[in-house]
Amino acid sequence: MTDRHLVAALRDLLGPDGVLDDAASQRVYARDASHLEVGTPSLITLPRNTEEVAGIVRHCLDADLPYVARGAGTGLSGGALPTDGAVVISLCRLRDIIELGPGAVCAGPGVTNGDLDRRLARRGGSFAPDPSSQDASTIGGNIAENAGGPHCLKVGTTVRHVRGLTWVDPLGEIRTTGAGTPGWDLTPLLVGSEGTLGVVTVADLVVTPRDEATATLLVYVTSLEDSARAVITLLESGLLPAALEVVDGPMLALVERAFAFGFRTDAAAAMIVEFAGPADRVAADADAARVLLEQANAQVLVAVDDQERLALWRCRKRAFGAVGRLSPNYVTMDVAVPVGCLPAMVTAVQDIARRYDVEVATALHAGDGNLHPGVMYDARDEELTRRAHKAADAIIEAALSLNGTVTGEHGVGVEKLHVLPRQLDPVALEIMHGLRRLADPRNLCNPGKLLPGEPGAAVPPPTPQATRFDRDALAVTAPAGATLAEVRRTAAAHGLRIAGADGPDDETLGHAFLNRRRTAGDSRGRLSDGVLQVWARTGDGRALHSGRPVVKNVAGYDLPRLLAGTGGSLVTLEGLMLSARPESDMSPLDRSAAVPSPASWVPRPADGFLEGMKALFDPDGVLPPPQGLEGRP
Amino acid sequence: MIPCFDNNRLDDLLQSCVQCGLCLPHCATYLATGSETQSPRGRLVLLGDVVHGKAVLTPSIREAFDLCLGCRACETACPSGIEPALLEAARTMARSVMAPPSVVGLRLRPESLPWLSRAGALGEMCLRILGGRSWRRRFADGALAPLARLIGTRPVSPQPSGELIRRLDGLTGLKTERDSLYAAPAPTTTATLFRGCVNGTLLSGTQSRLVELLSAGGVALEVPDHQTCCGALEAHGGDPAAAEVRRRRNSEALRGSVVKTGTLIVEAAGCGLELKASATVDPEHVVDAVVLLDQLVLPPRRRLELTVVVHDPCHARHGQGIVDEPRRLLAGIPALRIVEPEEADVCCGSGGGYALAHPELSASMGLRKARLLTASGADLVVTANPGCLGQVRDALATDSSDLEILPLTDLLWYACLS
Repeated sequence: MTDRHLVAALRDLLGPDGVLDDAASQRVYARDASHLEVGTPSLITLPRNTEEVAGIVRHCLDADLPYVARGAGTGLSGGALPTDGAVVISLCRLRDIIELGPGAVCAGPGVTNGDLDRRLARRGGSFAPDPSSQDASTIGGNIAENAGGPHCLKVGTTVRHVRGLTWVDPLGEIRTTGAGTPGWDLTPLLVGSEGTLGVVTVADLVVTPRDEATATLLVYVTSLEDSARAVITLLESGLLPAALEVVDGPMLALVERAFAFGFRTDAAAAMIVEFAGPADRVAADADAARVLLEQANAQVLVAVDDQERLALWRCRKRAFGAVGRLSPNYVTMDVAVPVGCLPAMVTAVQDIARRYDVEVATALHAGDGNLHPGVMYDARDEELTRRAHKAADAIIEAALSLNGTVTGEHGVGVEKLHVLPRQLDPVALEIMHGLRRLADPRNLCNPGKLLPGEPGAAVPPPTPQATRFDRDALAVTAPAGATLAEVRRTAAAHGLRIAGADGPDDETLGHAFLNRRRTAGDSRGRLSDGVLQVWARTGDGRALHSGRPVVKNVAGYDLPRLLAGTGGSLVTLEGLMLSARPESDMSPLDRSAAVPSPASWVPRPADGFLEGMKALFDPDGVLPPPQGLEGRP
Repeated sequence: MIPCFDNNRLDDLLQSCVQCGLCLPHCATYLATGSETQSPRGRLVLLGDVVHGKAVLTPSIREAFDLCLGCRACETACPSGIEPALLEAARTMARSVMAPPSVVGLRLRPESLPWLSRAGALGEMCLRILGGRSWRRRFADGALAPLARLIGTRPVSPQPSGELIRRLDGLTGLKTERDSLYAAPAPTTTATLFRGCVNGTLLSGTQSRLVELLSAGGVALEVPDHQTCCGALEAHGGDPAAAEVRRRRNSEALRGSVVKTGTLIVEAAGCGLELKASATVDPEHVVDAVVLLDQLVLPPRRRLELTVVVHDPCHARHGQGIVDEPRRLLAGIPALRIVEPEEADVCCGSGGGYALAHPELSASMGLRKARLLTASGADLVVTANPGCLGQVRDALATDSSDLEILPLTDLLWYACLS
């Protein structure tokens, strides 16, 4: 039974319609899009601004109640599900959009991704991350999960599009980080943290110019493996599509049944290959892709106009919702593997479906190596349900054995907690727990999500001793002592480049990575944009490895990006793996441009947390003191 | 008592909801309240609990079901093809145990509409005297709220054509000479007109202009006597028996003529949907007036320097898939510019008796709609449903917007004058 005083106090704060405590709402908010349930919330709160969120958090601390932030409840891993008795902080009323200039916008977490993009479109801008749920899913949710989407292939996931954040930390204090705030940039830590480190209340976001032209190809291939090989051919050819998607035969048939687009339903798989950018370049790239694909015996169709193109995307983005027409329940998997391993992975999924006698329909953000096999079942059939979950576990196992990640963009939530120890190294997971305890000593901020209780059990790959190109991951692995010239040369040998590797020939990679602040890079990207893995040693000598050779990975906190720009005061860097992109990747994501903050904005650095971080990585203080923290000792 | 529902069938239909949440931004009650309990997905979760015996119809569940407008925007948004029968069942469950909406104790009946059309203007005058210029805001809650809503949201369009011409001349800067359409050509086809309780009374001026337009398009009309309201008001208000009586009466009055002409023309989208769904006549024969007008060869239309925004009635857009027809009709008017508002597919909050049952919520949904329509930059809103006409007109007035709203038919008729 909830404390009546708490309800009264919250109603005082939020108004009579700002608190829901009826049984119907408790049932509704116990669910989201994940088909999971972990508990029944006691209260649902509907704050309107940052101060109200801070007030709710303080009331929760006083009442010793757990709380969880929620957007539109479209999460697929249960990250925003309340535990028993928890207070839900629904952010759907924080819907302000403040356009700051051509390159940036401030948005409340309750703004939907689609609304934001439509608003920016009026001035020729866009918000680039486009998760399939974008019409409903909110910016807050996108940040919590580091959401991806089909078009993240070229422009990167949400983390690359956040300049800074205002959030309420788990002690109820309002904080800012990133653009304009002194101190290490905690943005990459908060993005993808699934609401476990506080509640984001304002997001300072990058506005990407809308592309001048777009060309979209619909490609039919004779087998799913062929489509995976075609993806590799395209990416190795030096082309960089804006999106490179695949759906398998069952998914294609299902989508056709639901939306009657006119797809060929006899095809084993279909691809959507889209190019976007300057008109002449787009036409040339699309032609080159068509030639390559036709050489691989694919049938290539070109979307004739915007209407057809949008209809095609509408089908793709609503594909998983349509699964309800075929099956009452399904597990949506979200594994990602190095692109070079895609053919092996799709074969493995098909084998697993046969072995467990389950139906699987798969959609792939193939260019990112990210697969969404949907394992279908009917919860009313216990035996089938058991087989479906075994098949799902087998798919995860297959991805891990190919150096993949258990989750590329949907998050760990509660759904993948049990498999996370198989992916994370003991030291990395220990540090993640340390960061969480540091931020939330009372363990009330979205408890039971993201980080498993068991220790990490993965064996870290060996620290790189020499600079080399990894063909599967389309990435360069190098020791920290390698020079930028060496790294650039290695990528260039394959017609590729490393974002942010510009700089003096003899500067070491480690120095560039640790000492270039995220806000001071050039317009062609920064090293942290493409970092996939990091090898380092903490101040007390623990070997730390974090990341996977995949471009999308949201399993745990993003330690590689967090370490970028922190100088040498947290770790001694030993090696990096950096994604290598075609030369054509010129998408300007210029965060260094001077964009004003909203008039009312004041920097509120996370005092205490930054010092705590230093102590966590370097308990004995043997590494140099932080140099980069302006305005602090 | 909860009427008997086929729980097995509901359970089967419920399986198609995969809880993706894509319906949320299309649901007017979710957008107005910010509460997922008042969203389609939330309602289906609760319906599932009731159907599976995990919950009984508590007041909070009943409220969630009852607050559903029945606008069907969620069906259009749903990738999984959710069946209308689900939320229909939820609403019926709730409303069968609730008192029907009433105004100062009196139930709204179609038969009271002629009275309302006469008394509405007088009532508005009284409220204006009591509450001043901002009487709409003053009576937004409290005991008079339902009465104020009833009077404020009554559909109004100029009855005499002269008044309509004056208003549109004012918007377009034209000086119109004729006050009726040219003589009609020889009829090439016949059709039956469904008069409707609101269109036939409160909007009879508009209906007569529709008749002129149809005649100009070569349609000879039959208007059978003894028609009554389509029954939608009672069907959605939890009184299916009364609705059934009206269906039977309409069936007797209309069937002979409709079999002969093959077309029953319906002005109000809500009536059209009800007549189709209840199979009062063969659903194939029920045709929305806008759809028919779009198929006819109408007199040449003159240049109108106007920016117009279409407010789609939900029962046209979501219920009958009527989206392109009104826009094509407007595009046939030279120089006229059509703009699309944000949230074009979201309900304005009218919902038949809903405006009376839930005055505050309905008014807040109307206000949101009014602001988005005003923000579209249009000079004029057109719509094709009396409920929307009244609701949006009321909301625009509450918001002190200069934007006007008229039935689409009236604008089209004006465009065909010289």
